[in-house]
Amino acid sequence: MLFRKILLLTIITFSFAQYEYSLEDINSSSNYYGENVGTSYFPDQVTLHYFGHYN
Amino acid sequence: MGKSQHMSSLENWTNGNDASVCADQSPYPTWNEWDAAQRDLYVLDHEGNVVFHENVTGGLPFNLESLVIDLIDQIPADCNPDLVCGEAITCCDGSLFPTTCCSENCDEPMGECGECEDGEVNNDNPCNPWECWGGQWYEIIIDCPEEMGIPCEGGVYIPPAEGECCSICIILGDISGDGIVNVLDLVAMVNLVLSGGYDEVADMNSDGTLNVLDVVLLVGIILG
Repeated sequence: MLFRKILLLTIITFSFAQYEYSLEDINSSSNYYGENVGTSYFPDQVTLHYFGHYN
Repeated sequence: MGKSQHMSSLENWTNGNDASVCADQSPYPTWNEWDAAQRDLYVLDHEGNVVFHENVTGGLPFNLESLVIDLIDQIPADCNPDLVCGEAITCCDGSLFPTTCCSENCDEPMGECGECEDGEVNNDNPCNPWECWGGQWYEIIIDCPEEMGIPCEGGVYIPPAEGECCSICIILGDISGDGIVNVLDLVAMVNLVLSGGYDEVADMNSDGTLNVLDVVLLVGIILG
């Protein structure tokens, strides 16, 4: 029973934790500069997320 | 989404644009949770579901723009049915709405703007007719005396005829409805009594029946 609860909690946690973040917007040209933004920061909007870095 | 140690060169890849940029700190939990690789692009719909995930090192997909437009079209209209709006037909984005809020109060469009000719009247509902001015339909609100609580002094309200909105106040005894009580009404009343008919206007004592008592009362009124 305990195992099933842990499994369920893990599934729920995984389901809701994925594709979410809340990090500070560091682009000084952005309208949200200095605010913590993420997927849930723009509700009812289509959002594009690009992951990139210098090698 | 970048990685924290590379953010000193931020201006190189924002080039002055206003897109939000975040820096994931080592050990890069966001990158890991998203299972993201260098130059991965994600598109999320308005409910936060990932509908596109692709590595764009080779360039952006040709259908990206149409994909985003389609997703935007799927966003439900943001409206508030409790919004307080002005009662005036308003043209918004080519459609006519019954209030100044247009669709912001969840109203459905009534039709297209400029779809009528000046002077045209829609009297489908006599109490709520529409008239065309300047190529647009305007709603006309009719306030009837009976509904506004104005009493019909010395008479009774007769239901409106077909195509009319308001009840008409008829003086008791004015069976002909010409605005005066005279011998013509007396003749009409006698005929009603003899035929066993009933007319609320002729029921002078309001007892629900027409008989000689009503005739006597009407004669009294005519004789003054």
